[in-house]
Order: sequence, then structure tokens, then C-alpha cells
Amino acid sequence: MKDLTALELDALAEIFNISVGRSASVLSELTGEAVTMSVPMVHILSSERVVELFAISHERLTCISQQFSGSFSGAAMLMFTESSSLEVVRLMLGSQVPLEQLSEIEQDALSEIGNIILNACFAGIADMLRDSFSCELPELMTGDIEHILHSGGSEQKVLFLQIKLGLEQRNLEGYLAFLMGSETESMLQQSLSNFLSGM
Amino acid sequence: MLRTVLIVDDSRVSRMMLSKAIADLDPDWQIIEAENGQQAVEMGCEFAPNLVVMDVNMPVMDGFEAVEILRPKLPNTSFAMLTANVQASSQQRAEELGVHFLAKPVTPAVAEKALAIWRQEHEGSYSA
Repeated sequence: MKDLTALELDALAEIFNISVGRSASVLSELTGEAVTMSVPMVHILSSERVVELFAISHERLTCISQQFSGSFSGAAMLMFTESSSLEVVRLMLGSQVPLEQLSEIEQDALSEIGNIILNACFAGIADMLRDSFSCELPELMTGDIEHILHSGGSEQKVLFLQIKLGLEQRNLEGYLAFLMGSETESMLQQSLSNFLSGM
Repeated sequence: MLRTVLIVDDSRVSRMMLSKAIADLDPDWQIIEAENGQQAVEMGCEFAPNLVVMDVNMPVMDGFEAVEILRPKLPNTSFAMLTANVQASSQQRAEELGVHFLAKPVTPAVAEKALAIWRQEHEGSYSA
């Protein structure tokens, strides 16, 4: 596949900017707090390069992943640092769940949070590309970035979307990544081309 | 008068949050739960609930398939899809099936809308 042009990359960033905006709005509803988000930075990288980027922090991550198919296909991953993910669950459930029950349902809560946030993002992408995506059930993983990315196949390219989601008095950092095979990259490029020509 | 709502979701957390929100809003609702579409079909036939609030993406059988089976069997039941899949295609499918569409996350406002759907269809007072 030829590299994405500057215009295609710009379109991709804008599509994600709008789509992740929906996700941020959903996160705000879930936690009951205002959510700020940074400008998304979009890169297409090898999984090795993503591992290098994350290796600086050495933090364990919680990842909720969903296989998706549509005008491009792959695996979407929402990642939080492990400490951030627990914070999100506590905010979401608040006083609705007794403390002793919280750890028991933590994994289920995280899967549901990922499901809701990723689907909000896909709805935005689908609207922009005038397409629809079907998503599998969410899967939850915890580990370092190498473990998480290699679960999707080490030879895949990663459409890596770096975005910082901030809750009012907390500092949560979330990342979105889309794992794609080379065939999918071409499909993505075609979708972007159609999107740009329809403007 | 006691009414029954069947909450169908593979996420235990979502079932818990919706159950609590409905119980807080109106204790006259008896709440029963199913974890997937297949269970929903079985419980729907057994209990004939007044209202079914159904997730879409679930293992074993998805929510749309379950509604397709249940609707003809439960003509007096109100149905609402409650899903994270807020794409236009999903909303269109709900419309084709003639059921209401609610977007996750589960909040007290969403629970109120679900109950309002039942009221609209049975008392003509929908205001959500």
C-alpha cells in the first residue's frame, strides 16, 4: 500500500476527532464528570514502534478490544493504565455498588465501559464514512503493551490514535488503537479517498 | 398494580444499574433478568412481561433476533432496544422491527425513558 497522503491523514484525524468526541461525551455521562480531550494524534506504525513508545512508561495497561468489520476491518482497542481503569469503574458505579462487591464486578464493568466508548466511536466513524460497522463482543486483557498488541498478530500495522481524556480533578489517560492487516490498510485508504471526493 | 420488566443484557453491570434505576423510579415494577437473547425468549414466553429492555450485541442470540421471535408471541408487551451500538444502521433496524431505541450508557434518565415507552403504549402519556 502506498503511504497515506497528508490530506488523507488530516481527514483521518478529523474523523477520529469527531468520533472520539462522542466517546468523551459518553465517558462524561458514565462518570458524571466533565471530560476534556486533547487533539487526537494519528499515526500508522508497526506494532514494534508502538511497543517502543509505550515502553517508556512501563505501566501495565487494561485493554478492552473488539473485532470490527465494515469499510475497513480489524481490532479496535481502548487502553487505560491499570490505575486509571479502576478509577473509571469507581466513578461509573459510584455508590450504586457496595465496596465489597466492586472488585467482583470490576471486569464486567470495564468490558461494558469499553463496549460503550468504542461503539460511540464507531458510530461517529460510520456516520462520517457513510458506512456501518459490525462489532464483536468486547474482550478484556491486562498486561504490558507488547502482550496486548501481539495478541492481535505481531505483523500487523497499528493505526494508533493517541488521545488524552481528562476528568475534572483526575488525570486519566486513555489510548485508542486499531490493529489492521495490510489488506485493511488499503480498504481504509479507499474509504478516505471516497470520503474526500464526496466533500 | 405490579408490572414486570425483563432486562436483557450480557453485562451484569448494566443489568444491575438499570434494575436499580427502575426500582428507584417506581417500586411497582417487578424486575426479571436474562443474559442473552435465547434466555430472553424463554423467560419472555414464561413470564409475559409488560416491558422488555433488550441489549443488541450478546452471545448465543443477539437482541434483534430475540425481538423478532418474541414480538409476535407477546402482542401486549412494549419493547425497547438499549444498546451501545448507536450507529444509524442499528437504529434503522430497530425502526424496521417497530421497537423503540435507547442509547447506552445506562442512566436514571434512560430508565425513565424506558418506563415512559410502556406508559405511552398503555396509557398514552409518553414524554421522554
